[in-house]
Amino acid sequence: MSVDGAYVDITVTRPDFQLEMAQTVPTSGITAVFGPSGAGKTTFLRTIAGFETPTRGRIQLGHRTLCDVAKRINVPSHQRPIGYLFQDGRLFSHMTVDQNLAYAEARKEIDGGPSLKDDIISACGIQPFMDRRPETLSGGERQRVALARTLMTAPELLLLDEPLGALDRQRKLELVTLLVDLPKSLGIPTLYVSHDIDEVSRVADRVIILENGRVQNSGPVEETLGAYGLEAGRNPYESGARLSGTIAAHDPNYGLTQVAIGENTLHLPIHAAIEPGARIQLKISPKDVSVSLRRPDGISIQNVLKGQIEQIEEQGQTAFCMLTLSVDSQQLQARITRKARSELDLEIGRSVYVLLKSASFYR
Amino acid sequence: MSLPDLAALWLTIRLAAVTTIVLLIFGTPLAWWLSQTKSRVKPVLEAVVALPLVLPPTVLGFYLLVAMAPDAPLGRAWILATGDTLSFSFAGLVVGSVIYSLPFMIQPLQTAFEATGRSAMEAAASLRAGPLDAFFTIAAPLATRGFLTASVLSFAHTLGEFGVVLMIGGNIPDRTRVVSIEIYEHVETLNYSDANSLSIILISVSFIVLTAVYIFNRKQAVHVG
Repeated sequence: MSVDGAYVDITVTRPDFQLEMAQTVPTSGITAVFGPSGAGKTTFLRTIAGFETPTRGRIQLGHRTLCDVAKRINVPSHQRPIGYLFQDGRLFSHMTVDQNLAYAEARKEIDGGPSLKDDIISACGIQPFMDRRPETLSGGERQRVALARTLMTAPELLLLDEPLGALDRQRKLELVTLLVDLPKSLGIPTLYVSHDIDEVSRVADRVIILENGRVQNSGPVEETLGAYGLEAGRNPYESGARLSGTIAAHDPNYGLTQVAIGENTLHLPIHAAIEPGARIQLKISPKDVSVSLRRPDGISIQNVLKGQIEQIEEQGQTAFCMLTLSVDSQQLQARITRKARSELDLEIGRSVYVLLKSASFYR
Repeated sequence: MSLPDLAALWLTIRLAAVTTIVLLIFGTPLAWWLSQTKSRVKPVLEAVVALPLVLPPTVLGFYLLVAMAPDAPLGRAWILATGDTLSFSFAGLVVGSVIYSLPFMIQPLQTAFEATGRSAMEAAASLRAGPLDAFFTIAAPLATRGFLTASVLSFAHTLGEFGVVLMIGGNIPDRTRVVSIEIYEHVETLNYSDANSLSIILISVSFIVLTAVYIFNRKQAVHVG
């Protein structure tokens, strides 16, 4: 039997933990596996790679059965056409960068295709340190080399296990574009494990939310994360909300870009050449959001969205409360004072104008 | 120094070298298995490996002597295969020394394999390297320092062997008379001068070898290939 992409239906049993999930990974794009530490995300990846053996179930990649417990099939990990990027890179310390890559290239299944080595090296930007030893590289450089090494084997499925986990913020920003673009341009479907909501919403097309070894929800990133956050009565967007929009037009006169979010249009200073029609993500911190009962004028804030109050949370004994606002059926949060809330008589269900003081964007 | 002394020294070095090579061949797979296994018999095997550290060599030598006797299965099989007895022969000394020095080979190797083994082997497997390929290209080179320490310790420990050799090898010149036994002989015959010069050689060799290992281990990185 053959499937599109990968099909994984497994149970992994440990003395203190059980992972049970059935998922299909599409043939293209990035599927994030998101959840708190100890949810079983890494176990899931390790089982697909063949480092762990499931107690029940089947793993299918295209036409190949990698594991079928009932039929006693278990292809050893080195015979699975799968690339694995470890959190710590796991470069071979007794080899140079070049030798690390050559190690992978020498062992890839020969398919007669042209070598992608030069393309991968230049895409990962690792030419300057081909002759260096891994221990002389920074964390970000190591992960770039590790990604290049994994891609050398021309995998049919790429597993990224918290690839940014060991890096500081600046390095994460540098690497995240590479992690998104390169597998996509090579057409390799990717599973991306992360416990960081920021990463997931920026990187993934689909998400599988995993908790205590069970799938809580899965599907396209925006809906799935949004629905999950509300249903579970808690907010995974603690560091700010995300709005997804489309680039409508550029206004070179004022250096502004028009971003359409439903019927609303925002004018943002996006200093990047992004073609109209492209989807982008806006990250908005609750402290940068204000609300107004009437459409304001005579104010320097130009970005105003129409929204509705969905939820109001008092924040303990502080002067503030948190509003959850619905804008074009996406969620946004505003932090306002309790005094303002009471004077404006804000209640759940009320329509308001949402004022954005600032937003940062991601592709 | 007289000629028999040099013969004993040469025999000792040969014994230590052969023992080390045999231990490398048989000890490496055992140390690897111990470093990777989750089996319940692992602690039992580790205890067996460590036994020569605590047992008096005479106990070890006594049972080896019994096992090597021409009417015991092992001794009889050896005579059938080679035409020579295992006890009181160089081959018998090698067997005894291998068991006597076993922990000195296994323990450093096992530690080295445990330090890098599993994660590096997984990385190699994810790059399509089979287990044997990955062992020789990744695990073994990464354990270079472990191999060196284990070999030197096994060699040096075999140099100083006395009790086991005396029990199973006796004192046959050119065949089983190693330096430590030669020294004992000199003392028995009140030839303190020769005992002294041989002892100094043994101390010097051991000291130099061990110092070399510790200097090597202090170096931060080991590069091979």
